[in-house]
Amino acid sequence: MLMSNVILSTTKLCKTFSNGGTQQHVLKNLDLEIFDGDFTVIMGSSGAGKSTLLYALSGMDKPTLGKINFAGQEISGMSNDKLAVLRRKNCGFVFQQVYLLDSMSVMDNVVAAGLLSNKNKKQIVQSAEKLFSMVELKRNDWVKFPSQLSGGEAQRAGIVRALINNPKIVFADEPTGALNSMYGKAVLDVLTNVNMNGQSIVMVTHDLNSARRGNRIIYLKDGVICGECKLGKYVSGDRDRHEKLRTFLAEMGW
Amino acid sequence: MRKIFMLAAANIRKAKSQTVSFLLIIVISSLLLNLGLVTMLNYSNNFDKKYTELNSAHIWQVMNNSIYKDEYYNYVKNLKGVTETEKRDVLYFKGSFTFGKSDIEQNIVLFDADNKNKISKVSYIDKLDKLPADAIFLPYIMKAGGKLKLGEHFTIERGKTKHVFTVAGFYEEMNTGTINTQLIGFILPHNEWMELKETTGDKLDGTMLLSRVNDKEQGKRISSEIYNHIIANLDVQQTATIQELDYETLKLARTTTANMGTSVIILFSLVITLVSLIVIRFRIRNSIETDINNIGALKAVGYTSKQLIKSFLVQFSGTALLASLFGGILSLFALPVLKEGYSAQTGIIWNQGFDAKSFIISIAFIVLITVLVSFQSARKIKKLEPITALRNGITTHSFKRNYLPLDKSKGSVNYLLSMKTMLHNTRQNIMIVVIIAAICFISVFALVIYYNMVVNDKAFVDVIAGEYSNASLMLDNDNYNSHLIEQIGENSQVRKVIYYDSVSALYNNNETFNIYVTKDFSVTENKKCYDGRDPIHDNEIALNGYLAGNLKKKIGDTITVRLGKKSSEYLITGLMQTANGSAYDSELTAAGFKRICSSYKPMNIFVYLKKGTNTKLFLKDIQNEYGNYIKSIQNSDEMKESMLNVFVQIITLTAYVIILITAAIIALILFLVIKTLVIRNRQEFGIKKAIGFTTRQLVFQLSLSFLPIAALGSVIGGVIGYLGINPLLTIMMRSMGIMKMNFIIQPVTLIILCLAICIFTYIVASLVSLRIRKISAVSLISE
Repeated sequence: MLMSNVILSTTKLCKTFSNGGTQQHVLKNLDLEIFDGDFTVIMGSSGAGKSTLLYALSGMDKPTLGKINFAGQEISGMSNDKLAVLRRKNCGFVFQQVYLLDSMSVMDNVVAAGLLSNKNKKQIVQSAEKLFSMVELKRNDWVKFPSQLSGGEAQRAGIVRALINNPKIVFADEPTGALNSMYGKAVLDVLTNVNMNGQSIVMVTHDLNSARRGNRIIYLKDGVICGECKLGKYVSGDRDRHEKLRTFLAEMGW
Repeated sequence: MRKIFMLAAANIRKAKSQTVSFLLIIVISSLLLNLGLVTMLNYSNNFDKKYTELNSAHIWQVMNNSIYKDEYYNYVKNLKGVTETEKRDVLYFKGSFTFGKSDIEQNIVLFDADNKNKISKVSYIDKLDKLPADAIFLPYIMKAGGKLKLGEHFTIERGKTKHVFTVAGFYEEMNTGTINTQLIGFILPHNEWMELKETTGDKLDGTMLLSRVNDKEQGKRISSEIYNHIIANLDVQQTATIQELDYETLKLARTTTANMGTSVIILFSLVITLVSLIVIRFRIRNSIETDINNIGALKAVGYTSKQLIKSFLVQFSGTALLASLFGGILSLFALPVLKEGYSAQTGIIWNQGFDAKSFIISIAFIVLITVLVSFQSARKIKKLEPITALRNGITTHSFKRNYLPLDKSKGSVNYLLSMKTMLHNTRQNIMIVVIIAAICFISVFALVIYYNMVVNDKAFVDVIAGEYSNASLMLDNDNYNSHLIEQIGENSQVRKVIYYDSVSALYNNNETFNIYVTKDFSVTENKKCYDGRDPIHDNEIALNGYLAGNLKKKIGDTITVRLGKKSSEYLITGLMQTANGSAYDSELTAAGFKRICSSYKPMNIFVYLKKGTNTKLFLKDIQNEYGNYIKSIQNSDEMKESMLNVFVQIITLTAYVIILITAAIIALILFLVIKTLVIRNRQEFGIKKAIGFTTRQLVFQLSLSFLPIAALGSVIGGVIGYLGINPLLTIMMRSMGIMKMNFIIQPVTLIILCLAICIFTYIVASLVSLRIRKISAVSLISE
């Protein structure tokens, strides 16, 4: 069991969307703590509010009510620009659709993010090269446009962009959702390695294989946390760990 | 059809602000196009229409009865080409009066109101119901340009005598109803006219011969023939008192300034229409590109390509029809301002109401172009499969080159990203460059005209007025003082004083032209020769370039000039320009002129005053001291001011309007382009926000990306303006005798204008791109 500091917490977090006069309460009075160094996985059925929670936690979206505290800093009332500064310094994002900037090369996508918190271009390029090697992206892919990469390559490039500023926490929204199993495994291996190196990860997923990588599983149903499962750190081929997760998810009605 | 209208309405609802900006551009374009067309199709005919209506004379001569002989009337009447002649008793003298805020000295003809004119009729506009005892009727220019009102006093000074009248009415008359020629006419009621005639003895008695010819293009030639006949036995001093004019010269004098104004309006309307066409195309293409998902969905549920294309046609042509109708109607409200401006310059009322032809042409043109562009852009829907559309099938960008790789290029991330944005939008950049270049050119045009006519009018006055001094004095032939020039030259307020005469003579034996005569052209201040040099020796002449062109003469050729019975051959040493003699003029030295007029003695003194001298007070002193030797005095500064004053107002107004519309067009274009960019690149902005770019950075990047485009466009427009305005003005004014326009174009002004356009572009772009602020990163991503 990992005993770490709380890096991110929510208090009575609510998120409501209005749609043509109808109010949809997606997150309801949610209290949650994310610990430093954890690989936290958020699961739940469709419409449970997983992605909404992820984006609220990361400061990409503002809650309707409640508080979010990031590394001792209250962020729910921050302006968009302050949140942007917070994100660039502390957060990395991996999206299901990757969302690399189409108009720029892979290297540019990474360097653009890097230059936001570090003015030393040489250092950024060196870091980028290291990360590219880590995710096993070939040198000739760095100068390609995102549209010229395969899904797996693009997602790995997305991970490099997420990591370039050495963020405290990486948010991943269904990172393997659009990939085949081979590419999906490669991406998960990268995220696991990142976590092993001490960076926190919060990942939303539907996929059991992805969820197995986490050491803490939170299950969301209709906007509330209805269960939590703590697994230890990921070890490849650990059947007990896998069974524990399956049992938990079965209890949750997954 | 109902479905098509529903789709079109839905599209409009979806892009309200873009529809409004599109609408505004078409309103402006249609307004200006309609004004331009109305002016182009109707204004230029107005002069001739009025001329025919009033059966005005094509040629006319006026002289004192001391010169006039009945034989002249018979000569004119029987001259080949003359169809109608009328002899009129007038009172004719040199006098001065106030026009606007200035005193003008001119040859004045007073007509008897009871004259039953068959030629050169008078059309009264305003008239007091009850005529006062000292009534006078004035030409319309005195009301429109001189701002006189009915019942006000109007004073004519004749030497030391003052005649005070009450303005009892205004009228239109083509031949003498202007201050732009050397002759102006006023009308007095019969009793007053007779009374003045009797009190002045026969001193003012004069005769005016008015004739119509069968070919008005021949007017100038016939007028020369008559003039030549009359002056045959007169000395040069007597000749100077005769005033003669023809249709062509008059038309030029009365309509030139207004024609320049109309040219600006027409040019401006054409540029704005061109800009609108580019914008229409851009707007339609982008609308289809951003709507591609909807198009796919609609195709998937069964809408045909035809229906979808029609909905775009209905959407855009409907908007264009509505906007152009509105613009056309607005132009009806703007027309009175234009009409008043033109009337104030020409003294001719332009009765222009609603012009169906221009209205229909401008609306049809805009709608037709919109339909064509809509169709051309929308027809690609035909080839689009629903699934391709749903997958964002039409690639708006195919990135082939990674401009400015961030890992290798120098500069901040914001600067580099803004340059990347710029380099990836070539099509849009070309459009903005063309638009900004076009409107920058127009702004330069307006500013140059404004500068040269309002701020520093030297260049304009140089070409229009020829040699120009602060004051001119006409010597009294009966009490001639040949030492007056030296005496005036000794005055401490005088910087320079020269003789400068303008006399009429004949070239090619039968054509009249002006000759400017002075002792030494090197001391004149307006260098009129644009090629070659002024005459130095007595056998040399400088000829107006336009006239030389017509005569197929060049420097080094000779020309024979005749005055009365004497003629002499001169060598052309230079080609000159000035609108003063309507292209028919030349320069001879005093010694050269004496070869055809041995009795020549200078009659006009041009006085150039030191800076800061009050011309009015100076002339008062001169009048007191040398009044006996001077027949008339002209305050040229005031004269110039009054002649330019009306035009100055119009030019100032036009310049402001053009600058304002330029600003509006830039703002509207940027609004359309940036709004489209933000919509098209919502996801990109979302991603950037997600990874930590602030709104301020994104706004800065987007605004900065327009700066080089605005700079390039304004530099291109500025350079074209710098290099092209004088040649363009020369083409416009060539027939007036201006062969090389030399308007001052200050590079500093151009630089300031270009900078202003860039700064304005940046500010507007920043304001419009602020809409990025409203959207959170997650909503941009989840779009």
